[in-house]
Amino acid sequence: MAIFRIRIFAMLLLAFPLIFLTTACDPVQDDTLSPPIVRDPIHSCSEIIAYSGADRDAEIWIYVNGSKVHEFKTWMGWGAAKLPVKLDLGDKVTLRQVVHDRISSHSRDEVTVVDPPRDHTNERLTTPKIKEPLIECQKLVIVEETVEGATTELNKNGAPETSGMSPYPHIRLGVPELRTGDGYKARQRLCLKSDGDLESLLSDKAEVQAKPSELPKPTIHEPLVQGSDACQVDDLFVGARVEIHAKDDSNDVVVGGGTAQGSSTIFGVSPVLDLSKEYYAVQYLCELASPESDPVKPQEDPPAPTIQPPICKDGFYVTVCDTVVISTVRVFIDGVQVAQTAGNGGCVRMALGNATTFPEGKKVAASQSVDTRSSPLSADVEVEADGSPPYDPGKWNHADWIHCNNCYNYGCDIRTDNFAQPGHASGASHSRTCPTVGSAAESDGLTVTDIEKKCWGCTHLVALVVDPLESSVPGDRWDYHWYRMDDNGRWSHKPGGTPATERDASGNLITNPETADRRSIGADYTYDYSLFCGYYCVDKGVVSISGYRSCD
Amino acid sequence: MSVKIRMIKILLLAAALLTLLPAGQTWAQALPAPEKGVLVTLSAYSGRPNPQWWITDQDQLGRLAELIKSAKPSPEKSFDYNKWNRLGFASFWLNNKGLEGMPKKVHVWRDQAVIVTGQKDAPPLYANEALPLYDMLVKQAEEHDQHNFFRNYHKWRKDQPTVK
Repeated sequence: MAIFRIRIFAMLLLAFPLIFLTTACDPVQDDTLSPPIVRDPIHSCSEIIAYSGADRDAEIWIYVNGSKVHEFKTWMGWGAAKLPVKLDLGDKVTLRQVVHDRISSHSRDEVTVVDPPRDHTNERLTTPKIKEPLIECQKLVIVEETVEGATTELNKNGAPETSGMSPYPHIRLGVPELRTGDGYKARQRLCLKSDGDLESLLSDKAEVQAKPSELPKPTIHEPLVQGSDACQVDDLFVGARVEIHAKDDSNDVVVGGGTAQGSSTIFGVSPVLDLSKEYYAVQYLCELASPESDPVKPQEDPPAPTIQPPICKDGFYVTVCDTVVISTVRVFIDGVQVAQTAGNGGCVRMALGNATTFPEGKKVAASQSVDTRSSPLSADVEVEADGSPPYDPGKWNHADWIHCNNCYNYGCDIRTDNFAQPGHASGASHSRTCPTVGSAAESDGLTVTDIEKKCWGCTHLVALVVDPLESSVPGDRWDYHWYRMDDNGRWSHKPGGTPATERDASGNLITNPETADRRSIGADYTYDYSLFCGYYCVDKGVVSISGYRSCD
Repeated sequence: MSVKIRMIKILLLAAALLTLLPAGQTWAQALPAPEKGVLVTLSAYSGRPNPQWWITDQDQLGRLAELIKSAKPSPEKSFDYNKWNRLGFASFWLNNKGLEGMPKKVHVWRDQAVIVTGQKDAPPLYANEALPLYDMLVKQAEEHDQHNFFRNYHKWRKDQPTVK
């Protein structure tokens, strides 16, 4: 008994330091770090996800249904991550990033795993397409129209060549240099735990063609900043071999390069960019070399980035542009940091930590740093009240396009000049009922809002009504109509190709579309949009609408 | 037994009626645009696509040009465009594509027309006596199965003097 007690005591003694050490090593939650963004959609049985919005060199922790399943180190702050588990339908995926001893909150929007799309037979995956032309000496084949999470197999002259998995609707497969006359086909497959594997048909054959007689001159993406370990090269021939050179009066050495993954590609450089050198790039297809790019000298400090307006009240994403490749970008509200991610040489979408949202009237600014050097702050952008558009009928009532834009265009505040139809842009159809017109609009990106009629961030409120049948005149005369709330708190509408107005059929200003006179009364025909369907929010940055009526 | 037969009959009738229900909206294609012609759009719906057709026949285009020219200019003050530029008035928009000597756009309802010449900064022209033009377009609309929008017009038209 005594020996047993001593053993327990010894175990506790051993355990205490371990518990202490574990606690000491746990990163501390820090809401100045951006929660990473999980790419949507993720399909059932996927073992791969895509992410963005993390800082350079961060550690990414992956959670499925709230439990951590994987962690890995990222260089760029975005990309693809292989999982140790296959995801199930309905699983919810979030991410956190760890920078030094600090950890972000979970992704602001969790992504729920959904079933993959299938072809018209409903028994196969859609058939992928090889991006053409394939050119001899390319070291890359891009396959498009892939299903996110599927494994794509590439066949060369009928025999398997290589395969890979991608969380994007395309995949870049590295291959040995292509040879003229070889033919490539691709197919994709994705396991489904319940139904077994789903496969696609083989794609059409793509044949490798002879390379061109000359290659375009590449461009070093500016600015280069001293101390940076990355360089983006533009104007590339996809699949070409790229070399980045550093030269001064006495030396010309290759400091980075690789295969061009796209017409713009970011490469690591070592040693880091040096103020005393200038940098240029060359691209090759086998022995065929392009002209050298114009040389670029690094600058001492990164320039200030810019914030893309508008930023709206209660929003929790912000887009920062003019970023330096693989820099660290920080966003501040009235001087307090609220987000931190890597720059990508263009615009990056950043999430605010935890429950932070943009308060109305506050000033938002951003800066970026490379190595130890920081840029000045960007110009301020003030957080706007909300996304409701101003009542500006002149914008819509111009004779050149008044009849080309309808109530759906006006409601969404998006001019397309082709009489936009709910669902047309997203391939959804509808019949004459409220639910079908509404869900077609939802597939265009509108979101149903609750009975409090509140829209968050830069979205604005619209209302859908339907005249279900031949209300006054016989014949197939149903119609739908949209109202929108303007920034003055009242409602306005544009009945078809006629002028936008803030008045209802009785000539009253519209304060409530549910109680407004929703008829259209004329000498020739009358509509009564008697069915009130509901309220929706429109985020113009997300919603995509189109139609098929000509305007000329 | 007779109850069963009646039930079967009801079910069969219901099935037959279901087949008559309109199917979901499937997206039509944009009308193929000719190199030259006039696109006619009937202002009929707020949301749904308005009826449209092209006039490309040379004789019809000639007649159309003649009827547009024959409309009588009128001062804007005597012309209440706001009254009929609304849903409920079966007006037509004419859009000229590539035809010389024709205005860029014409908006016509019954005997009134608004003409957008297409010349830079030129204000629209207002015209009366456009009924023959409207008559021609109504006829075309009805040939395109758009009868329902013109019942009141036909009643009104009977009381109007005949214009050749």
